[in-house]
Amino acid sequence: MSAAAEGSGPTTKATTTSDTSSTLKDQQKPATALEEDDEFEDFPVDDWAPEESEVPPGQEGGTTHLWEESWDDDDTSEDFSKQLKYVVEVAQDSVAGTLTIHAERSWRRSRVRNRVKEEPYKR
Amino acid sequence: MSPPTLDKFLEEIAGIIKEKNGIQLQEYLIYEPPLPPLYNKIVSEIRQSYPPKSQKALENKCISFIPEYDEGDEGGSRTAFVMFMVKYFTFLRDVNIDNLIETHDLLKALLNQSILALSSSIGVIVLPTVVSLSRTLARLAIGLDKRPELIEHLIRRESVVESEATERVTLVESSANVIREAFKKCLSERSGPPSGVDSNGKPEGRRIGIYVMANLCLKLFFHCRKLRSAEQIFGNIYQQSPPLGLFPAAQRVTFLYYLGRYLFANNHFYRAQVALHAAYDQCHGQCISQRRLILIYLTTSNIILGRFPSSRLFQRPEAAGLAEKFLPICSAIAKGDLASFRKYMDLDAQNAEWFLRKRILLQLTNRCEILVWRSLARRTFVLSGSQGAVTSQGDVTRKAAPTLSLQDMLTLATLLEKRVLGFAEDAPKPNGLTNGHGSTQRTHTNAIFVFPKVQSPLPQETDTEVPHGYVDPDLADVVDLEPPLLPNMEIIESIIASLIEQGLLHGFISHAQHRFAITGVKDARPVQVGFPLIWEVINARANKEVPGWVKETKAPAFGPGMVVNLSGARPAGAAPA
Repeated sequence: MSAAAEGSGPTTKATTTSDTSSTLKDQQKPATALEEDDEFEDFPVDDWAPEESEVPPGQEGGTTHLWEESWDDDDTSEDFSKQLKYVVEVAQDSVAGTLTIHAERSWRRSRVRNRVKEEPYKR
Repeated sequence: MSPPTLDKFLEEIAGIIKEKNGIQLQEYLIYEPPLPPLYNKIVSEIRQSYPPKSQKALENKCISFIPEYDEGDEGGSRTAFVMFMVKYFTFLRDVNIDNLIETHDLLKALLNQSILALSSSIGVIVLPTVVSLSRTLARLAIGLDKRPELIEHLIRRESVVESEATERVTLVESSANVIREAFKKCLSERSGPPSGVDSNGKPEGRRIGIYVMANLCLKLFFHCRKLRSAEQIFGNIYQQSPPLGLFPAAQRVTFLYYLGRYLFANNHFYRAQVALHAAYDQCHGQCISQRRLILIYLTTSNIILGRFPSSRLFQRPEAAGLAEKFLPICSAIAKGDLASFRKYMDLDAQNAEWFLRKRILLQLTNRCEILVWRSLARRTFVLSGSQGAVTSQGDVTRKAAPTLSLQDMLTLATLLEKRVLGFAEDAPKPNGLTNGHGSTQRTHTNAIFVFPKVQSPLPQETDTEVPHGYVDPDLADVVDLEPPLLPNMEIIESIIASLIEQGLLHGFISHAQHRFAITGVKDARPVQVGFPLIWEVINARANKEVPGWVKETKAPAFGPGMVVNLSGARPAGAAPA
């Protein structure tokens, strides 16, 4: 008797739901456009065979080529690496230089201090 | 005169109930506009014969077609279902879809009544209708939430409630709470064997609705950011549900997506990766939008775990545009380029808004930084490290371990951090390793509670103004806790120590010599031993179990109605036979 009663097969059922959902969706359009695809949409079908998902489930090895576990960058010839190498070398030289200057200064300072200490005895 | 169309409709509903055809019942109970002509006829008949305040008459009408008790049922009454039919008719009579809030409230009440019918003896037949109502309610709630101008007065009402120290419940959350009742009804089904699986390997009775209802709740809880409520759903499922694998693919993928996102939000990146990987693998090849969302969180989790997306992955249709978002991060990590990493993850950077909206910015910023440091240590070793040597003096062979100078690493880190802070790039001076001050550097949160010592840093500036404002006497002499803006040796040593502790570096620190020494090299390349692959380290020690994901039928736990076989029991303390 009713429109729904005519379609008891699953295909007609699916169209009924999508028809009704589109009526509500129309009302929501301006807002949804802003948030784009942030919401996890309902799937148009409830079930599918494993073959329909690109990678068969259970074959974990089947997807590993999509991910790289060894990605260390050993290229020392590109600019970034060259720059770092230069900076390290310059710093190593200057640190060595500073140490020499520093050592020399502290030696002089100790001489001065000793002299001050020694003076009263001289008197 | 009796309304003819309504009578015919009720007669057919009674027939459907007798046949126990749940799908057909759901198809008959149309409630979303536009209604087919026949339904409009029913509505006008109800308006005429059963105006508001004639509830009892309508109830009697329904009972005359659907008796409250039936011999065919295994006990229990159909009162709840009859009341649901009454509610359905009054919904059709009263609903005005121009007022969406009112529609939402009416629909929620209708769903509530259908859930009561769900626990009656004919509950399973009502299930498809409950699912359909829940779906519509969820869609309407989210739709309303996106139109603040419509729910303005509700938000105001909520804030009043909030001031009365009651927990604030939004429109979306209130809908989710109703749907959660349906979820609980499905989960607590007691028919069939304890495993909840029938002889055909399908979930028994109302259990068939567990994941449909759970997914709807999760959708709403994620929408209103109530992850604590989502946690309850996962907890309940983990304890009571039949294996996820018995349910249709759409339900599995949706559930695993939300589970993955929940685990991700709780910093369980390995488990998140396991769930999202399964969701991605099982997702329909043509559902690009779903695949894309799963992939975004899967990629983020994997990068944090040291597994980078390949160029092949980025060629997939669902990955369109993702390469430009994620590749700069991967490249900065691989190079140890701290400056590029910090600049790219800055809140003002080009893609920050996108990362923020996807709720992955903080995770990427915080979790990937240590990976950048690991690469920087590795690069320092490659550029200036000592590869170790074997020296022999007479009979004694001495083997020096490969080492890297922490001083060199500090030099590089300082250079890179200076780039972020916008320092002029000059060659490092001998005193260039001391700390400088910049304005963009992050400070520890505690800094807002601690006042710097009221003293000018430089002696020649002692005449300048003392900072204004109240300073607590207790805090008058505190030392500024602001962290050094540029790294120093302590920071570098701490980072290296942390990397060693996490297993991401293999060796030890010589504090006296400021060097990191790689141990256990033997015949291998020092760089491979000292800097193991991050993914391999994490994968090796990860717990593969994912709470919330029921993979196999569990042995039923002890509970009411369980038969416990005590034939092998012996008194406490007695020796085994």
